[in-house]
Amino acid sequence: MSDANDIVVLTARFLVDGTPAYLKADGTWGPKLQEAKVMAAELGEAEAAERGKKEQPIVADPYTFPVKVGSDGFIDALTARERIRSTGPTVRVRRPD
Amino acid sequence: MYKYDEYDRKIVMERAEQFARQVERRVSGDITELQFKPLRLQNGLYMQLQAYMLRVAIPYGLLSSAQLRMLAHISRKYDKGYGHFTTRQNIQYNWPKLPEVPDLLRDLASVEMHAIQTSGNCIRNITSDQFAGIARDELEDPRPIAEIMRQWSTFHPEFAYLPRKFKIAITGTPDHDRAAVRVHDIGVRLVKNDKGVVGCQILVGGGLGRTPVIAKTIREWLPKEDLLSYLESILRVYNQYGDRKDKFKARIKILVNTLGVEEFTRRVEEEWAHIKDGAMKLTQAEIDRVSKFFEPPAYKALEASDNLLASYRMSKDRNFGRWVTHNVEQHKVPGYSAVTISLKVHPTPPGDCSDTQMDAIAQMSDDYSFGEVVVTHAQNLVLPHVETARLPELYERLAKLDLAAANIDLISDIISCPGLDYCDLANARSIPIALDLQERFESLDYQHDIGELNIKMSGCINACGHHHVGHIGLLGINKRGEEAYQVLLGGSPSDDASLGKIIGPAIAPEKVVDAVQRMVDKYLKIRTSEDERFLDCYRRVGVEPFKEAAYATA
Repeated sequence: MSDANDIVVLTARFLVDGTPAYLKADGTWGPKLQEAKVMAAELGEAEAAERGKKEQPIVADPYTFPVKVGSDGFIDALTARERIRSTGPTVRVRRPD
Repeated sequence: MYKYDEYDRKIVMERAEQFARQVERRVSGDITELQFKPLRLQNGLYMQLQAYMLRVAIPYGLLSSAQLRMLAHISRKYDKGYGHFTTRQNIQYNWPKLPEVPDLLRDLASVEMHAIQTSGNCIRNITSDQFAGIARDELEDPRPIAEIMRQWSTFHPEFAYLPRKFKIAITGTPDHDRAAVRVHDIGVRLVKNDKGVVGCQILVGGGLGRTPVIAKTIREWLPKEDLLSYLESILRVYNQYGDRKDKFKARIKILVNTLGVEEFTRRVEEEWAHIKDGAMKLTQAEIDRVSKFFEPPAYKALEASDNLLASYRMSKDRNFGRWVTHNVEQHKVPGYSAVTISLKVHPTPPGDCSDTQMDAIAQMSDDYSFGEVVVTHAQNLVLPHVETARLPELYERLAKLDLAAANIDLISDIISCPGLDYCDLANARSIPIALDLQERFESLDYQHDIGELNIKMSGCINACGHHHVGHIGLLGINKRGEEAYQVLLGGSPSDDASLGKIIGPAIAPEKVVDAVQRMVDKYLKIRTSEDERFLDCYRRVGVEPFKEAAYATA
């Protein structure tokens, strides 16, 4: 198990629809938290600043948030906000995608 | 209702085309998000927790059936089949895609609607009484003045970058405030002076949010022709002296409190002396011109229907009887009634309305209400001109659409912001708690026994759900990254305006419904009679019995 306070995931919003984007290990952005690259907090901050400058046409507003990783590799956000953001509204959406 | 002239049409369409070019530049990478953000916000486009959100202005809540059909079309074509009506009488779409927003705005413009000034530090949508123009207790229809204020404030170059956002509400019913004017930056009440002439009483510095304040009256009576110059003077004083450094101190209520109401008023009057007889002066001809847009529809000459309404309330069909009791208001024209359509139907989030429901309501407004619909600040819809004799057939049609809940002003008629399910600012979810409360108090018998009880909840301190003025207010907070809720009691937005007080420590989400249940049980035990409302009971006995109940463990 990782130390919960030291590791983060880099997230942003896809420009086209504003949905959550997570930086993956291959350097591309994907919609799933479970496919995100987990990194040390310091590295994450630097990456966020860098990506914020150069990837404007793809994503907006990159930032990091702390996570913990279970022994099964499950990535769990440490705040209610990021948990809800990663899974979508917890209430009925009329016409889900 | 007001119809755009050629200038209105031109500026709204031009704005849509301008935004199309701005979106193009953003998508191509020509401009950064930092550069684009103020441009999209000027067009009501937010970046929220899950997606973009577009807020569409509905001036003083008034819609034509054609406009409502367009809102349905937009929810179907550009969103996920629904929209969310807000406490500012607007509608929000939770899932628009950036490249499609220009077409969405063009569609809106085709029915004389837009999303301009629904965000940013400018004068926002002007709100009013949902029964404006039809209320029996109304002194005068406030909508012509609301429309004049809308035209004055739209694209006003001097007030495009105020220290903070600015909200104005107006009521024409001085003895029954249904527009919450006392919790607005400026509240306008139409009142008579001692000579019996109708003018404007001006209240300033009310608001909710981080620092809730009840507005103060700075002018007891002002001639209508001087309204715009007086508003201009207030905005100028605010624009000049309002705090631009600290966002949390930037609203006009803080300035009024800092200067003191006397000094604030003195500065306004001083400014006003310079401009009161200038170009801002409203002529009676202009007031008459705008008033023509709000002339009554072609009502039939009908018998008074008070007795018919009374018989409906006693109907053998108990659900219909209750619906008439709670959702139908007497109209000032004999034989007519106003119907409130509840958008508080479990398990639909409060204020949400599907595309098919919007289309159906638009059709019903054509069939029963001269094609008019009004959005209420309590997130419901009103058909304002229904023949009382046709209420039974309207009720049947509403019931088939799950829109006949007889719960207006009852415990399940909850005002709720989108909360952490959608909002980027929220600390906690609002909708699931509201739905859990509705489920707990589902029994109409129980709700009617409890009587009038307004629950209002916000997912953060910004108070979009008006929690400060709920009889029971619920405020979502962030407690070390997890959701928790503060409970407030004793708020009211109306003539007896008061701000709710926090009763104790925040409680966990799973404990909120039980805490409310215990407070309601306590109320039912200690009320002096069925006529003593929850709010009156609280004001009589104070917080202690309710606090004890809320924090009791089984």
